[in-house]
Amino acid sequence: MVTVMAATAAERAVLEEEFRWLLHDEVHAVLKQLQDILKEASLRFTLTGSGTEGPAKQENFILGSCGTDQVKGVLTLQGALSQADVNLKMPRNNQLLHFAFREDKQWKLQQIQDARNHVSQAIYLLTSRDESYQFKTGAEVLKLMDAVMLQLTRARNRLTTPATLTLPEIAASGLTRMFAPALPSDLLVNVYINLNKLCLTVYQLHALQPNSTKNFRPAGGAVLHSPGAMFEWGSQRLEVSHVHKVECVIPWLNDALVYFTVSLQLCQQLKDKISVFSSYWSYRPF
Amino acid sequence: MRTSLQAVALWGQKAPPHSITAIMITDDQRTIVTGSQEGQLCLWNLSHELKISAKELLFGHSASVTCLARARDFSKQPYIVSAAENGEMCVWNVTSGQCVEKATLPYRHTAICYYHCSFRMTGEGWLLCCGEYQDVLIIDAKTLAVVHSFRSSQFPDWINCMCIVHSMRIQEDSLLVVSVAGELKVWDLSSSINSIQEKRDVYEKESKFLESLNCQTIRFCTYTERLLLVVFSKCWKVYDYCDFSLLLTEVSRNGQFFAGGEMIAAHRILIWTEDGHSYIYQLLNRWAQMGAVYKTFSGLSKSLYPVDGRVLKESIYPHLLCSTSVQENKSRPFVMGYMNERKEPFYKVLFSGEVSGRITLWHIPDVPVSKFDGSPREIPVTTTWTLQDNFDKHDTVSQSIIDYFSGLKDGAGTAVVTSSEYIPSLDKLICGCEDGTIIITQALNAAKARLLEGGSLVKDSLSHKVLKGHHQSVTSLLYPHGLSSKLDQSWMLSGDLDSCVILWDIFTEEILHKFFLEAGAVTSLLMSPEKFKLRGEQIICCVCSDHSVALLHLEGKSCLLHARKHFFPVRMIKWHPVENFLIVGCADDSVYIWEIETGTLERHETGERARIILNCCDDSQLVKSVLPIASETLKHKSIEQRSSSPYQLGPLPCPSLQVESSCK
Repeated sequence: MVTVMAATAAERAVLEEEFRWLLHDEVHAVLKQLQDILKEASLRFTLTGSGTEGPAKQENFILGSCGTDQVKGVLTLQGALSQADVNLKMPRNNQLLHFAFREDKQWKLQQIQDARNHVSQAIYLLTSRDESYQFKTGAEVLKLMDAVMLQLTRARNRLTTPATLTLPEIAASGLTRMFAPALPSDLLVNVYINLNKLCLTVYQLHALQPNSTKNFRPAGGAVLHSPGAMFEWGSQRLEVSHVHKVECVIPWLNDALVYFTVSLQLCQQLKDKISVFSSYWSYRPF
Repeated sequence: MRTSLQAVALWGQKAPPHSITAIMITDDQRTIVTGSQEGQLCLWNLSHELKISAKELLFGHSASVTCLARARDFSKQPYIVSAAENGEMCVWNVTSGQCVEKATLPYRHTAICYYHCSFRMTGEGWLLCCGEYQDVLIIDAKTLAVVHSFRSSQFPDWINCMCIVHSMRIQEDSLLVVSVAGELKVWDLSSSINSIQEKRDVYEKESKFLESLNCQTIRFCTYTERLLLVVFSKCWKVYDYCDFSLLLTEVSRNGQFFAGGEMIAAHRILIWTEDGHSYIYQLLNRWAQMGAVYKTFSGLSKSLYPVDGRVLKESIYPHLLCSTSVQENKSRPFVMGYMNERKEPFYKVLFSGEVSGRITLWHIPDVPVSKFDGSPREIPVTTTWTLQDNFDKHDTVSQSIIDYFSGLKDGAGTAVVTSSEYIPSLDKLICGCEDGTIIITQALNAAKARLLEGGSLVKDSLSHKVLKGHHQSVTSLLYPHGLSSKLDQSWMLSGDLDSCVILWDIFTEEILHKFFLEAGAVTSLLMSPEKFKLRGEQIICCVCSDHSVALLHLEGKSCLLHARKHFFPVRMIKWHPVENFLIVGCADDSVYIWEIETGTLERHETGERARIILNCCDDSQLVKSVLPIASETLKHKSIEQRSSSPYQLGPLPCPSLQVESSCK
């Protein structure tokens, strides 16, 4: 029965030699490559004045829609969102409204912070298994790759999956209190990251009359709400009349996403290489 | 009145895997609780002589356990709480093994601390949680609902570690945390109770950057009420709690990564590493007078101005007293903890849990001393144990059902069953073995014979068939008639390690056809749903270990399509009958759409489009994976509510990504 498994003793010896090479040399080469890529990725996420690093570099992003020119925003990213300058042309009376963040406040984009922390975790997992560490089994390598891939998948998902918020949640978020002069009560603002883009949405609201014939149905959570969405805020019932959304690509986010994809593929390829050997000696603890 | 369901589990000779990711000892030092990657918790009895024995395996989580903590004052209620990677939290009664509360929150916790101040708080107490989210959450210990949170006024970030400081002097509690950015933050705890209950914002009292990253543990010395131990992965530091001034830094040597530590007595520190080593240091004082020989005094007063006017500077330095002995061949990472018991029998215990499922205990002497020559003494392992040790202690009741039939004589070993299929309509059990044979036996009779009648049954009275055709271990089986009654009752399919798929007639024991896929092991055999027919027949789908998917037509004995372009393991298969598409969902959340007739890849989508495509049709089949992998469906801070958008089974949807400024 034993001989049915792998053909001859010579073949087995070659297989074992190959596996030893894989564990001792190839794995470390791949881990080093992964570390280099992820360190590049983490450089893209500048730290926010943590005291140990220098002041983060400042980048301005101009968000505008090419069509109607109704909303224009200039958002400044310095680790966190340090400044937001929004110009809004009201469609009805063509009046121009302008809002800007208060001087002393910053708005932390949690998606970027979470993505950055996941990348740091992935790097930490890799650095704790440097060249001096000897992998003893293929299973160890698989577990390490699973852990690294989990962190990278989460980092990527944080950027590709913005939070689905209800309109009351948007109204209650600290972002509305960041502006000076204060936002009028019939405007809601939301900022989020979608894939490699920084998005700014402005919702124009109007109050629903108490004797209105419309069926009041509060809208659920969504990344982007549509006109007609209704919600209750304070004592008032409100409805979204206009939605303005503008966005802008952030180049370093694009880079980071590419790094994540490449790293995930590298991890999967290493896992596949190790798994090939498991089929040859599945009767032994591999 | 809920009726309880009795479940009987039959274990074979091999213990289930238990890769320990979290470990704790209960306050009464009677039970060790471990959490594993597989999602189970294990309760172990700890005897007075420090002997371990596994008591119960608790099934409650569907993802890897991230942390464990006590959930009540243990003397009142023996409750602990466990948290998993997918946000599940469970409160368990450790004595009865029952789950008393369960909740799933959109938060992934890495540490939980129980807090209760009975004269200021109503309810059963709070669970202070930190993890992969900003700041600290306060969760009700009874209902597992989020009560409130501690917020940072500046630099909110993930928190790595926490500790609750109870000052006997002023009877005030504080919460100390260190963030992933290395910032130490302090919140008033006991004086914030009212603010928290009234949902007012609670900000940190003070904060300080500690200039090191990857904080593993923060501990307050209850003996001196003055020292603060902070362990980072590459160094550990001791601070003065009064002003957070740095008193001592000790850097790791030999590339070791520190994983935690504890203050085990006044000026005595225990530090452990990720690979299971631990060290006990005594903190000694050193007075250095400018230019004079140093003398050793006791006491910790900061500075003295002696008569001659020169300033004495005090510093503390660590002296290594002991280290623990660790067996080699261990697998990292270890999770470790320390327990100091204030009741009989007053053991000081250092414990560790490993990925292999092994628990090791060291009994730390009350007064650790170094050897006579000053070199560190080694503390031996007191006890070590695994689940398999419990299994080995008892005789196994039953061996494999098919041991008698596997053709092995003279006890040459037991046949390893690598896949199995049960056919209720024929009362047949089909077992695929490691050596390539397939054994078909009468299921109920075989089970009865092994379990109820012991070894007394003569094997000849049980009819069985042995099918030989595979040369490698049989990895998957499929009985098509069981899934669709229109198909031939005699057909059975088996796939092996070598990409060979055989179509059998199980009544005549004939091989009807062999398919050679050349794609690695066949990991899954699936069948298309009834409404999906190509050339009048349902299709067999084979998922292989090189992540390719092959479609087989049984009547025509041909392979219709072999989709080989997938980078990542296949997780889901969907069928689109109108347009004859095969939709393959992979582990990287991308979707491949294959046109079956031409064998071409029509589209490859990722992200939001891929999600929509996978959700729009019915008839999806989840591919069984060999290892359970936690699905990343954690939505950030919200309940999943998709806006309803009906998609017909027509041309596949192509949602536009840009939503322009739209008005009613």
